[in-house]
Amino acid sequence: MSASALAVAAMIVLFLEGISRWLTVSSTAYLDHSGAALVVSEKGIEDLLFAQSAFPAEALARVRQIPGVRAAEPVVAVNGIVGVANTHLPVYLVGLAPRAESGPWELVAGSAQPGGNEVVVDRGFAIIANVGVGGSITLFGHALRVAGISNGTNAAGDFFLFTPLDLAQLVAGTQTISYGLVYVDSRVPASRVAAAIDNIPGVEALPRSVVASNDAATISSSFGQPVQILAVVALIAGVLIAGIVLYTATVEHARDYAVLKALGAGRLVLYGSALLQSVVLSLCGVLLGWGLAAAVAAVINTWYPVIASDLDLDLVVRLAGIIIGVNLLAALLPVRHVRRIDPQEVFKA
Amino acid sequence: MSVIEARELSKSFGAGDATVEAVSSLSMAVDAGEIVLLLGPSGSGKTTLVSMLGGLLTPTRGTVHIDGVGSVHTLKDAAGARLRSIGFVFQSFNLLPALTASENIALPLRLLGAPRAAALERANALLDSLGLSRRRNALPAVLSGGEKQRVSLARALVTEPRVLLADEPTASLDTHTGREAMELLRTSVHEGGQACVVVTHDTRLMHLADRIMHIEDGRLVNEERP
Repeated sequence: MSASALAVAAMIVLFLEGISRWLTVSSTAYLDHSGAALVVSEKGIEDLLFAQSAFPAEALARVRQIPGVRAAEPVVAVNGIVGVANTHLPVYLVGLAPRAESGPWELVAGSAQPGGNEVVVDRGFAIIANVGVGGSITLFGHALRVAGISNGTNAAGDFFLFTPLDLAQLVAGTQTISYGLVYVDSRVPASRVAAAIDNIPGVEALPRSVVASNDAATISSSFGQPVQILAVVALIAGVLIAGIVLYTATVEHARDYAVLKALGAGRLVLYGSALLQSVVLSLCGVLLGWGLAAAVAAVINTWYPVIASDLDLDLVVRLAGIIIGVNLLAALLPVRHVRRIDPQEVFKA
Repeated sequence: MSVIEARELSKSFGAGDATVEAVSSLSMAVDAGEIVLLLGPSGSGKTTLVSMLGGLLTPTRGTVHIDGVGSVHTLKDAAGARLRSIGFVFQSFNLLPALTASENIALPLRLLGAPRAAALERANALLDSLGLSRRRNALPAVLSGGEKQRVSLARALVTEPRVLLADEPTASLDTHTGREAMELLRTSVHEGGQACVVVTHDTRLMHLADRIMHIEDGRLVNEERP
């Protein structure tokens, strides 16, 4: 019973922290997997997900002329909401050049190279839209055939869809490029290439990590912070629950502590027992909570893959440390109670 | 020579006009292998007296000596001294519910720092001598009242203490089982040479004692040998 209460508290904290981590990690997944050193954008635009960058394709042709540039892939991005299967989903349509390095990185089914009127859709999107490889779907007024299904391409609730470059330009209604992903020769410093790109009118280059962190910061402040606040509230509630549970568990065993005191147990044994009980209860609670959180995350991932919770081991270990540490503090209350238990309790019938 | 000796022992509760003297200037001594029965009505101060003899309660005045050594409660390692010198048998047995019969008996030895295996070996030997060989791994919840009291007695004797203090040891048992438990206590005390003080209401146990002390209002009113 005590461990169950702690488990529920731990589950809520772990699950919310997992969502918070997923929001951050998934928001930069596309750029992280692209492997590009630099991102070229319209001057003044420094993120990928929340701004609409546009510049002429010729600018990217000039980028390719810069010494040290191995490749410069054009990306046409269209942010929007599409209606599928009686619901509306936010999507991030990415138009790619043929054989681009920056396409979907984890294919579940079909092809990663869409051609003609084809699209590669995110797995969660496919589940909600109820489409599979070979199926057709209407996006932005265009009937498209699903060529492939990718995994890990849900960026904080924004589903990545991949189409050929010209199809994306058709959807966007422009012949411009949104971004350029620049791959730099390893012998040349990326900063030198970036400086050269900055000399091209209308565009600028930023390290991929900077653009990614800008996206992550925006996600964190708009979605992550409310989740973090919820997680902190859950943690505080968890601490209160832990305190009450551990105190109650000790009070329930007051007579046992009185027996130990009467027999002659020292402080080390008495307080150690109360603390050990707290640690064991906390560990059981965290392990059980981890299992529950993982189960809830799995259910959501299967049935409603709009959000996810990244319950990585390092996150669980870090949170377990915090929860157990806080529970040990909460255990000081029962230890105080144990100190006050009168050993003469043993004489009561 | 007396094993345990109380001199002018008093205990008061409350302050000012509300002061109640539960035990008043009471002196007593118990020899090795002797069983002293403390008889008296409820509220007469019997349990308060036993608490002070056992070092669980600090007297307002007076001293308790065990083997000539100063009051248990004044010693630096009072808990350790109590563990080594005094065994307790309680009315409601007070066995730890999460521990088996063997583990309950071994507990005082473990608290004294004995290795687990050695403590359990000693506990099992005691269980065997009390006819409870088959109940070694039983939890208290499945033991009968008589079995619990025998385990409780074994726990009290496992450290071979100099003093055995029993508080209403038969109150939770039926007449037959209570008599058996008391006879077992008497045999153990006579063989082990403990000084034993038994608090009871039960006048049917009088013939099992070596000496009977009648207490009323915290004072010794009569002493007799059955």
